[in-house]
Amino acid sequence: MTEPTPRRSSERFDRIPRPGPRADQRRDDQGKEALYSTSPSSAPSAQVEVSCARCGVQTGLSLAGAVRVAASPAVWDPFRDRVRARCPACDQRAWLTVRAGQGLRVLLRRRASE
Amino acid sequence: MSAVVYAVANQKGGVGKTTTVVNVAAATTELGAAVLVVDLDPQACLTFSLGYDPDELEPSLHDVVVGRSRLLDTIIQHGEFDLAPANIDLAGAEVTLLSRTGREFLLRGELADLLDSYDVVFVDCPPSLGVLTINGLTAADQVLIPVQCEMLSHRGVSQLLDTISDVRRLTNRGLEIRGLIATLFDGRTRHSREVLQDLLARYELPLIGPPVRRSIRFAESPTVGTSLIAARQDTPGVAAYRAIARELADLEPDAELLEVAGWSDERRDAVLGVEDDDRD
Repeated sequence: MTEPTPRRSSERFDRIPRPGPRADQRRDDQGKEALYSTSPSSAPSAQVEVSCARCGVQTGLSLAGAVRVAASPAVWDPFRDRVRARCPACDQRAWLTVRAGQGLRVLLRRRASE
Repeated sequence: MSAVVYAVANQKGGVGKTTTVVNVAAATTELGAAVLVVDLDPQACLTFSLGYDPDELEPSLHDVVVGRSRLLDTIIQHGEFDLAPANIDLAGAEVTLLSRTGREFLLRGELADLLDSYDVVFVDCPPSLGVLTINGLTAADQVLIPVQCEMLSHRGVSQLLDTISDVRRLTNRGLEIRGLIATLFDGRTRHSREVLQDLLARYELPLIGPPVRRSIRFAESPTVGTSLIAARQDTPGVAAYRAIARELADLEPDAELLEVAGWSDERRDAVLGVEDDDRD
C-alpha cells in the first residue's frame, strides 16, 4: 500500500533545515564525523587510503596499518592497480584500491618544495 | 534465505521506537516469520518491556562489545520472538569502542552469522547519535523511522536523514529508508496532521501503514512483559501495527485492519490533505 503523497509543505516548518544541502558542507573532523573510525576526514593524518570494492568503505590508515593489511596474504593485480587482501573495515578478503592519503601527500609535497 | 535487517531509529527520544519494535515484531511473528529483536539501547527498555530484569541477564550486548561473548550466546527465546538483550553497562560501549577501528561494523559482523536463522531482524536503536546508533544503521538493510507528529520530532527526522546520509557515505552504502511510522498520533489536532503532511511532502518519504493512535494501553504493556498483540488487545493502535507488519512483509493491505486502525479512505484523505485530483 503506497499512500498518496500530500502536496502540502507548510512554511511554518521552514525553520527546520533540509538534510540534503548540508551534507555537502565541509565536515569538522572533531564533530560528529569523529564517530566513524573509517572516515578519511576523521583521520586527517592517514597516510594511506584504502577503498574496498566489497563494502564500499574508504578507510584511512597509517603506514604501519597499511603494512599490516599488505602482510596478510595479498595478491596484486598490476593491470587494474588493486590488491586482493583483507579489508580493514569489513574484515573480509576483497579487492582494495590503495591511494596516498592526506598525511602522505602533505609529506611528499613538503619534500618536493624543499 | 537471509534475514532482512530493519533499524528502528530516531535520534529524538520518546517517539515510540521500542513500542514499535515490540509490536511490529509480534505482528511479524504472527504472520509466520522467525524474528529476532536486538536491544541496542543502554536504557534496555526493550528488554524490560519483554518482562526481563536487564540487570540479571548475562551475557548481554555489553559482553559482545567487550569481546567476552558472541551475539548468538546472548539470545533469549521470549514466547513471541527471540531477543538479544541489553543492560545499562552498554552505556560504556561508546567509550570502549571509540578507539577501535572498524567499531561501526561490530553488530553487522555479529549478525552475519545469524541471518540464515531468521526471516526478519529488528534493531532498536538508542535515542541518540553515537557509536551504537551508527552500529545499528550500519548493520541494517532498511531504516524504519518512528515519528511523533510534532515540531521537535519533525526536526529529529531532518537530523536523522543527515546521519543516514553520513552512514551511506561512510559505512553502509546500501542502506535504504523504508519510511516513516507515525506514532502517538492524535488526528484530532491540526498540528499532528500538519506535521505529518509536511514530513511526507518535504522529504518525499513514504508513510508505512496507518498512523498509530495514542493509547494508554501501550504505556501499560511493559507491566505484563508481552506485546499488546500477545495480550490480545484489539485497539486501533494494535491494528495499525498489524497493518504495518503486513506492509513490511509486502502483503496486501487488510481492509478490516485498516478500518479498525481508523484509516478508512475518507479518514486517510482528510489526515493527509489529499484532494481527489492528487490521486494517481
